[in-house]
Amino acid sequence: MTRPERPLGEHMVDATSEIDVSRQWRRIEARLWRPRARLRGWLAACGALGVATSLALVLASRQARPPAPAPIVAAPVVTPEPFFAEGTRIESAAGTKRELALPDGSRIALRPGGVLTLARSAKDEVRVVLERGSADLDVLRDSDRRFVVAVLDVEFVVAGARFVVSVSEGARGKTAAAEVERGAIEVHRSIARSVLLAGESWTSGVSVASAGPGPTADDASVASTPRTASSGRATADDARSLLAVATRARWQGRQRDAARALDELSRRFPNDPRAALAAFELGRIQLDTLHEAGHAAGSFRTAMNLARDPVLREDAATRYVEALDRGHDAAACLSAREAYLAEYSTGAHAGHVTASCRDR
Amino acid sequence: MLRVLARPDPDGVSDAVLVAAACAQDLHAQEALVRKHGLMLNRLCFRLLGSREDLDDLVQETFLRAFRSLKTLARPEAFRGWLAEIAVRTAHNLIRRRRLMSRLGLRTSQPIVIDELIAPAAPLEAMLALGAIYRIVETLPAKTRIALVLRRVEGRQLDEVAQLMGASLASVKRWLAQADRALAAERGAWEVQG
Repeated sequence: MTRPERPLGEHMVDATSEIDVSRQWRRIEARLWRPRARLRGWLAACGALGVATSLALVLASRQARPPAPAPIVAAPVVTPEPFFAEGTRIESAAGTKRELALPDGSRIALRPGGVLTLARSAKDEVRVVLERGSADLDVLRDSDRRFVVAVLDVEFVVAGARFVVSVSEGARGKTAAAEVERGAIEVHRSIARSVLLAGESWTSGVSVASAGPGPTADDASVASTPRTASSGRATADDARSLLAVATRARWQGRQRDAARALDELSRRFPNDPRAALAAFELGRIQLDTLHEAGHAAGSFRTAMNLARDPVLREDAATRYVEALDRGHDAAACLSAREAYLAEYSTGAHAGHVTASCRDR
Repeated sequence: MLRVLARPDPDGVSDAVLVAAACAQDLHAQEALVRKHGLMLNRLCFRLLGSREDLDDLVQETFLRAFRSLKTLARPEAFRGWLAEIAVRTAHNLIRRRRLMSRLGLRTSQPIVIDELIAPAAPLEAMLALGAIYRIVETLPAKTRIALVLRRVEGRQLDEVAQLMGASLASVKRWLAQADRALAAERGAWEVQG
């Protein structure tokens, strides 16, 4: 490869300036979790404000004669309410919303009549318990920190999302609910797990007060509903919904349901950009989980035909050879292997493919 | 918030001293490290991403990861290079995640705007080369893309690229060969040397 005299990057624009770096530092500082440093900052700020006020008074007294000027009262600084201590319990009065800022930059807006507690606030975990009412949360992404919102017997685990959680009381007892605006959250209830994507909502359905033996693994899935659906189990009349159904099913360990949804997606919507990926994921489930090599080969073949992305096409071709190999279809395997190596002789998987289709 | 603490002079103190203080949770030292290496990191991340989208997030995430694992840095004086390694790894994860999100229809891909990348005074040859690179990066596998940017745009030596990517020299050469083929298909006149 020819190496240029000067790096090409020196001919690119400078994307940032010192001002941008200053802004980035402020956000980094906020996420470093330094309540004491913030307190020092506040104290220093108050001290500086006091000095400035005193100076102004001195200057004013030199310029003006009696009567003495009225003392200058600094305007109150309005900031989001600090929310540091573990165990802090917050209530919002009727008609009043309370906004809370967490040290990591996440924000909570407790709606009127709500009650929540900061049960835990540590570098690796933040845990909020919503006892009553509703709260809007905007949680910043942080892969090193687990953010949990507990509502009744449900835990909403957040990596980074904007969503609303609520607890309501009806004739049959209390109900927990969540609605995701951006990002994704996991819903944990007993042994049940599900994932809510942006635009989806969830409700516990079964009231806590009348709970019998306990929720089943499928309990959460029945209640999970995309916005476009009107009944309990998700309807899927477009490719995106089918993909969401498949994703949820995989999270819940229902691989056959996931396979059905992916199969339907790739058959009904072959021109959809997601169809190739759906066929590829279907092949993976069939081969790796369900051990149906024959079906998997067909799915990977479909993925190869549908894929517009060359990377996905190459990956599908690799797995196609593997599926034929594991299905002991020697002739087809050899043919597919030769075709792969002709097109991707220096591909990332060439070595693996070359070793496939050995005589058994 | 009124900032009354004196701004540290990042150029007056060595990285070794700053890292030692930062390990002890000294906020001023951490700020000094950010100000001292922030522009370099932004430049690297910008070139890896090819746009300002997610640039702030990537830079902030890189510094945060660095500060959280600072105690593992064996040679504090090598902070700058170590920071760049973290940036490359974090960028790789971000690129892969963006690609997956785009495939799932959960994210709308923002095309790279070549005109916003190239300095107005860039010579024609550099403009053509950069244009070719950034026209194809979105179609390349993440590792190939990163290797290409580090080698051709950043101008790093092969062993530097390998170290930054935590990969073998052989892997880097393979990725660069793949990138060369893509460039050749894109530009036609790009000379490929083994």
